[in-house]
Amino acid sequence: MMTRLSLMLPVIFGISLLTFGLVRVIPGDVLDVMYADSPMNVQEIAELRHRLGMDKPIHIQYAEWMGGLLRLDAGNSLWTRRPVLQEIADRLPVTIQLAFMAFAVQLLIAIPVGVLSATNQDKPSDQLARFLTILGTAVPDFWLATIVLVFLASSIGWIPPLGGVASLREDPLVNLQQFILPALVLGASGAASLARLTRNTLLEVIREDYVRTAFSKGLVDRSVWYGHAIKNAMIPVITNAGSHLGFLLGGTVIIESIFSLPGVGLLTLNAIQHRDVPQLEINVLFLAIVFTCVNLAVDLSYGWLDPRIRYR
Amino acid sequence: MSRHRLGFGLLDALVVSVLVASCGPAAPPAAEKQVAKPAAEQAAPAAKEAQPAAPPAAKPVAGTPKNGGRFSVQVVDDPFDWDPTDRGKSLPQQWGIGLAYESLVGFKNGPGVPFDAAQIQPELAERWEVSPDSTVFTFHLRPGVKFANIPPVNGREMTSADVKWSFEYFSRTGEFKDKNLPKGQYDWMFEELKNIEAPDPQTVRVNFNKPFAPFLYYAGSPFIPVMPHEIYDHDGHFHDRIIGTGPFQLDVAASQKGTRWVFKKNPTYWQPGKPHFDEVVWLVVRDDAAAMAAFQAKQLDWVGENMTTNDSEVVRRANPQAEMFEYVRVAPIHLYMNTRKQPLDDVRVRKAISFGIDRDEFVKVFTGGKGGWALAGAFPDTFSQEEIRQILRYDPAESRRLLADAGFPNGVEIEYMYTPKSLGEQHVQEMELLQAQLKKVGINLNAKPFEYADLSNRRRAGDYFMSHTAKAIEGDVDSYLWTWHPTSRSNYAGVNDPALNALLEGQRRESDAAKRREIARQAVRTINVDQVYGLTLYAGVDYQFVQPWVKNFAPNFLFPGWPVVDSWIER
Repeated sequence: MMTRLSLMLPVIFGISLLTFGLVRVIPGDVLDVMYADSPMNVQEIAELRHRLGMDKPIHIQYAEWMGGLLRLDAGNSLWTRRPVLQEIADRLPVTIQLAFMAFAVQLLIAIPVGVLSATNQDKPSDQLARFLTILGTAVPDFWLATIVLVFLASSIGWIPPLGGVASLREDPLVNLQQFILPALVLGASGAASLARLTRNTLLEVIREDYVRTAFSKGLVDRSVWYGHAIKNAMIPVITNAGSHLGFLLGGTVIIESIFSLPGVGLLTLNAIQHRDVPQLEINVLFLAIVFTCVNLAVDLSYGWLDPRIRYR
Repeated sequence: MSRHRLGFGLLDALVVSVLVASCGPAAPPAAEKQVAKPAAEQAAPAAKEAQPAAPPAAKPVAGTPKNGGRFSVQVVDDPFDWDPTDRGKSLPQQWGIGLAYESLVGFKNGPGVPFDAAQIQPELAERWEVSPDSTVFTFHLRPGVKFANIPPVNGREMTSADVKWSFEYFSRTGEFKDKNLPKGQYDWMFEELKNIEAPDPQTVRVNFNKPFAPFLYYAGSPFIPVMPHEIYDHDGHFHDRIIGTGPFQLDVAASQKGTRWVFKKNPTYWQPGKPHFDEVVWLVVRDDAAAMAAFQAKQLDWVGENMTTNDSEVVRRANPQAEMFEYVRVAPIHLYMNTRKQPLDDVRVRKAISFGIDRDEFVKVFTGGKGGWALAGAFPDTFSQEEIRQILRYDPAESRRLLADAGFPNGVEIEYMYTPKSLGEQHVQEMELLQAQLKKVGINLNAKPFEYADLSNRRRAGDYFMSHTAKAIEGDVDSYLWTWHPTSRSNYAGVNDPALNALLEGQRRESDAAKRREIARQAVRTINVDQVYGLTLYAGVDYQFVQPWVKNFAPNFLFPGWPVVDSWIER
C-alpha cells in the first residue's frame, strides 16, 4: 500500500514536467490572447510580459512554480488574477456532483443491462440490449445533450433552470433539475461501453470450468450467476468504470458547456483557450492526482472482489 | 403533452442538430418581421456653437412604461476585468461598462433610431462648446448626478474633477504621467492632448495642441466613461469593481461566477423614473443551441450574440411572437493586406485583388442578399450603396490584365492567414469563397490556419500577407480611417503614404462638418481605389431577438450590449 502511494509521487512529478513543457510549446501566451483585438503593439505587450515575469528562463519559472506548490501556493490565474486553487475549489462541487451522479447512472444502467444481455444470450432481449449499446457508443454525448435540450424547449417549453447552481442542501429540487439531465446524458453515453464490457466479460467467465462445475453440481442458475460469475466478471468492469469516473471527475467540458454548469472541465478549457498557464498546470495536475487516486481505489477494490488478491 | 407538440418538438430538435452540425450559411426567407434599415444619411456632427440644455431627445414610445421586472440576456463568458483601459479580455466586460458607467455625451437610440445612427445627445454633459478650430472642448456637466451608493464611493456627486481624473487615467497624462502604468488602450482618443482643466465643479475643458475634430464623438465612447477615483485609491486598479453613474450597478452578492451576473437598478439614477427594469441579469450560456433553447423556454429575454442567418431562422421559427431586429453591420469584414510584402507591395496586384472580388456573391451567400457592399475606412453614411458600386467593380478581365502587367501573367500565389475555430465556421467559409473567386483570376491564396491569438500577433508584428476579420470601430469615422496612418498601432498594412497622411490628418483638423466629410471621402477613395491599401469583403447582417413583453427596445451599434434605459417589461 505504501509502495503504491509512494509511486504516485514520481508519476505526478513527471506529469507536472510534461504539462509545464507542453503548454509552452503552444504558440502564443496569455497576453497574446488577452490583447488579440487591442491596438497594443508588439513592444507594449513585451513590456507587459516582462512585468509579469513571463520572459524569465523556463527552468526558473518551473522552479518558482514547484517551490510555490510545496508551500501550497500554486499562484494566481493570469486571466482572472484569482488563486488557481480557489478557482478549482469553486468549481469542484459542481464537478463532483455531476461526476458521481453520472457514474451512478452508468452503473445502474450498464451492469443490469450487461447481465441481462449475457444471461439471455442471443434472445430478443440480448439483441435489443446490444443494439442500444451500439447506439449509445455511436451517438456523441454533445449531440444527445443538444437534442434533449432543444426537444424539451420545443415540446414543453422548459429547460433546466439557468442562472446559478442551486445548493443541494438548500434547494434540492432546483439542484436536481439542473443536474439530472446532464447526469443522464453523460451516464447513458458511458453506460453503453460499460454494458458491452459487462456482457463480454460475463460471457467469458460463464465458460470457465468452475462455473460449468457449479452448474453440473446442481446449483440454481441465479446462484451461479450472482454468487460466482458476476463477481469474477466485475474486475475488468471495475477497472473500466474507474477510468470513467476519473474522466468524469476531470470535468466534462462539452456537457458543462451545453448545460451551463461551471465545473472543472470548463475551467480547463478556458485555461487552454486563454493560455492561462498557471491555471492549466494546476488543473492537469489535479486531473493526474484524481486519476491516480481512482486507480488506487480500483486496485484496492480487487482485494474485496477477489479474495486471492491481498495487499501487504 | 399532445402527440402534435411531441412531434414538432422532435422535428425542431432534429433541425437544430443538423444546423448545429453543418453551420453552413443558407439564404433565409425573404420576409422578416422587422428590419432596421440603414440610415441614408448620418446626422450631422454637433456644431461648434453651444448646445441647449435639454434632456435626452424624445423617442417614439410603444405604450406607457411600466416599472419592474428582470431583463435576462445571454453572455458566453464571465467578465474578469472592469478596467475600461483593458479591452479584449472579455466581451461581457464592455457590456457591463455600458450598464454601470456613462460618458459625457451619449447617442440616441430606441425604436425609430436606425441601428447605424450616431446622433449625439447630452448625457453627463448637458451642453458643450467646441472652439472653431476644434482644439478646445468645453463640457457643462449636468448638476446633481451622483455615483451609485456603493462603498467606497458612497453615492457622492459627480463633478468636473471626476472627468479630469478619468480622462487623465485613460490618456496616462496629468497625475498618471509618471506612474508607469501599462499603456491605456484608448489613449488614441486623446491624440495631441494638451491638458484638462476643471475651472469649476460643473465645467471641464479638454485642450488639444492641434485640432482634433473627432473628440466630441469619442467623448461619447463607453470606453472612456467618467469613473470615481475612490476605486483606484482603494484598490490601486479598476479590475475588480465597477461603480458608476449609470442606470444599473453590479450586485456582487447576487452574482455567481460562471452562471449569472446581476445588475440592479440604480435607485439614485439621474434620469427621473428610469430605468424601468428592476435588474438586468446576465446568464452565462456558452452554447448557441442551449441559448436558443433557453430563449424558447423563456429563460432569456434576449439572444443575439454571434447569430448567423441560419441561427436567426431557427429562432424565428421557434419563437414567432418574438421581436426580431435585423440590421446591416457598421463594421464590415475587413481584408488586411500587408503592403510591405511582395507581391502586395505592387499596387497593380492589390488592384487585381479588388477587381477579382465578387461582393454580390458574398452578400448573397452569407446574408441572403440583405447585407451590403462596404468601403475600407468608411462608415455606412460616408458613401451610399450606389456610390460604392460605382467605386468598386467586379471585373475579372481587368484583374487578369493588371496581374500580367505586374509580371504575373501565369498567376501568383499569396499566403493567406485564417483561424479555423475561434471566429466560427463562417470565417472559414468566407476564406474559401475568396479563395475560389481569386483563383479564377489567377491569384492562388495559400490558406494557412492559425490560432486567433497567433494570427493577431503575426498581424501586429507585420508577419503576414493577407487575412480578414471584422473591424472594430468607434463612434467616429476617424476610428476606422486612422488605421492607415503610420503612427497608428493598427496600421497592419504598413502604409506610409504622405498624400494619404495629409488627408487623414486633415480630416482630424477640419472643424467644418461638410468639409471634413469631403476629406474623409477622398481618403477612402485613396485607400480603396487609387492605392488599394485596404478592402472589405462585405457588410454582414446581425440579428437580435427579444421576447414580446420587452418594450421600447432597439439596438444601436454604439452601445456595447443593450441600450435599456428606456425599455420596460410588459407581460
